[in-house]
Amino acid sequence: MALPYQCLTALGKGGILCAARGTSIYTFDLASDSRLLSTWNHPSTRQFENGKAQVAAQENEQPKESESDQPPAKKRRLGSEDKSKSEETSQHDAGSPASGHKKQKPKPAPPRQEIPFIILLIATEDGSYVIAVTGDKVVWVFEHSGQGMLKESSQRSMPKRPSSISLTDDEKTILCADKFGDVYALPVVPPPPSATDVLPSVAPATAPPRAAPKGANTLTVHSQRNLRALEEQRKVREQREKKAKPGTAHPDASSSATPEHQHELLLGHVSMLTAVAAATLEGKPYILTADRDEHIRVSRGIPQAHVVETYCLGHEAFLSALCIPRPGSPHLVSGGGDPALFLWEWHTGRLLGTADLLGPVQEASSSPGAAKVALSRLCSYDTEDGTYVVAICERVPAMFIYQLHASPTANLTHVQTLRLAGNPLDIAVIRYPVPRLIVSIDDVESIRAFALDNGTCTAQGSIQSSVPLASTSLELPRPELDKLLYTVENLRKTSFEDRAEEGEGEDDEDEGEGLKAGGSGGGDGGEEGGQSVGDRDVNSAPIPNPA
Amino acid sequence: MAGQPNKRQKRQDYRQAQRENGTTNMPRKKFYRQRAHANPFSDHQLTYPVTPQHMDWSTYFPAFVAPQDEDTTMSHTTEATDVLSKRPPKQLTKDVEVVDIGCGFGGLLVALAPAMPDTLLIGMEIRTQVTAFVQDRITALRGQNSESGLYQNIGCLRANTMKFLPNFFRKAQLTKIFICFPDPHFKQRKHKARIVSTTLNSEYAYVLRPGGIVYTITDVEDLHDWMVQHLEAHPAFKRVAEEEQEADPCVGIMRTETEEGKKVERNKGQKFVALFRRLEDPPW
Repeated sequence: MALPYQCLTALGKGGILCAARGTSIYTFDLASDSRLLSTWNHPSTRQFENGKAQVAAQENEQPKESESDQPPAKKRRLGSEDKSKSEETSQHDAGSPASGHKKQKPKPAPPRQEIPFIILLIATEDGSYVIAVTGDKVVWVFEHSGQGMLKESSQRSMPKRPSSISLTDDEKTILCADKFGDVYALPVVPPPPSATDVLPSVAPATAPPRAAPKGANTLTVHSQRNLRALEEQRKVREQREKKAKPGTAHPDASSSATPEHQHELLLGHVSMLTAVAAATLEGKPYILTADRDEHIRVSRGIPQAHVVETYCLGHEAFLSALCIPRPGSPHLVSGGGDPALFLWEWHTGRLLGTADLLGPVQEASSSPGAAKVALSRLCSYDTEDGTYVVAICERVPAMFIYQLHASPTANLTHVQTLRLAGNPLDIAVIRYPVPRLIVSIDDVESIRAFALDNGTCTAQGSIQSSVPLASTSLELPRPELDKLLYTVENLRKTSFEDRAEEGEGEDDEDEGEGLKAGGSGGGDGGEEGGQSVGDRDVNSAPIPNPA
Repeated sequence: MAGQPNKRQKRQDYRQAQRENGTTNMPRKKFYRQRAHANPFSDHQLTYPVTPQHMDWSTYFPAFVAPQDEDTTMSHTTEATDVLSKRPPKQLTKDVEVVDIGCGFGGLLVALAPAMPDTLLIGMEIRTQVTAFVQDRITALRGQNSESGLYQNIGCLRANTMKFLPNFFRKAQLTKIFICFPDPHFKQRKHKARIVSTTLNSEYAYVLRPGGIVYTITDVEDLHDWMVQHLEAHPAFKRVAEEEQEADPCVGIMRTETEEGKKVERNKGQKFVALFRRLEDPPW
């Protein structure tokens, strides 16, 4: 089975559609005959046979691992517990040798060659640049000629997996939100290399290098075991320093994960970010960020992104999409795991209303008992008679169209459901030469167009393209593919026994050394805190890593 | 873990007895132990209000509940609560203005309570057992001081402030935030879990009103340097000069009255204090 298109975006005014399938990006000329204009393949797909073999190998690997009665590796557990983490990320982590746990694993997890699917795809309003993010955490920028030809302009590695990208209104800066909760600003066109050398990356968490670490010392830890561990560390550090002396740089310097391009940390949540949007009001830019913990934050734009103006609070499940219906609009439509779409006056944080989504979903759903909604995308378009917002939900074969009434009182109402032959993966609006709503559908390997006239949508048929088969022959077993294509529902929080109630191990990714901490506490009522802090961290080598 | 059920049983019995014996017995820490770390990124099973308007403070500060009056409750109803069809919670006569983030066993709260009797202080703690201890401690103190009415102005709730601070407090609601002896998270890869970071400071700035103060104290020099560096680098904060810092009565209390502070004292450790004032936001 061939892959579906997972990302779509319109390119400027030429009626060109940009679509991503697997690890490739295609452009189509929708103005005439939906002809394929160009193809870009991820460099890794050039040694493709390799990748295929890897995937097959893992297929065999996986069941064995789950059958094994050995305790699962630490990092693996993190991946499966933190549902939001996508499978391949945890796999990736499992392969990294850096984690310092000494548990004997049944076997080292195979270092997985992650298939670098295109996960995000946007374009500037005029279509002159296309920005794509691949599963290997790389942000790609392409120059677009206007005739559908994409020219690779830059590639930049991000520290964490981007989860949403957007462009500032001047279209000079990419806002890149990641799974770690941070938003970085990247210039669309990176400054020339010489300038980059001069401008070191503005990394958030790097303390200046210093001679002696001032972490745990004999004044902060007191138990015998901690003191012993501290002494051990001192020895290790001394040895390292001896070794490092002949060389020039710190031994760890080369393994530093900080990307070397210019990227400025703008803001961050202590939660996974799921959507970022740029907004403008009265000529002032703002940044809107949505997270898995139901928050929508409204921050000022660059250069005052540290100022939080307000929050739009009211959601009771994760967020997954934000949509500002038109540039300069005071309104925001948001959604995610809640059964409704929310309409906000974003700059005041005021909730203007909600619009039922679960009802239409249940009507359209193939399984009638659907009780949950996992909104995957929102987009909007204007016609002469109003502003509309289109929503698609994971594994619901339909598009839901809502009309936004701005006055007298702003509200959002469901006006139309468009049934589809399969589950939609992405939607885009192409305004030229005639306004059309484009949707990519899973399973049937097609992109469909709907004409947008007078606020109603009518099916126009599919965009059949002559994409050469050879370039799309990346084959994945369906469960693997589903993991890559359907990630939104995984954001939902699942209730699990809160082990904190037991008064013993709090849930924490560091079991092992961490759990021992409780035992060494002993003392007269002051041991809650520092003691075990030292114990845990001292044991696991807190030798700071000068960045 | 053979001893586990037994221990749990003892805890339950103790808590039961504590409830039945009236409210004036001070709780004993050994029935409320919990390991010192909680993962701030975990989902836990937290309860938190959808918005600050949904927060029901009345159970924490029963002495400050505003007299129920239909008209005033209506006027406090925001449109958001209308849409969400939630009944507005009982109102207090004043807002909570001081927060102790990671209040631990509540030493600072208890010491501050008589020092600022007209201000509502809330301790926020992520560990359930420890939160329960502080709550029982406050109940006992209120029982012992029923005549003077002391300790009515402090409360403690379980929360992950790193994620949910804006769910509890409106913009500029707070005047003081205390961050006392936070988890140092020595490992570099854990630095994002530190309670002071470039990005979290924006949230503290959001809930603090201009002129409000963030108080920090730690026995780990490295962490002190980290907090100073990150708060000073944030455009919304400016470090308070040492003279003014030492003149602040809260500083003395913070140094001597927290459990950690006492422990550091016993072990003859160092204490590093730094205060930061919330500045006005620049024009936009």
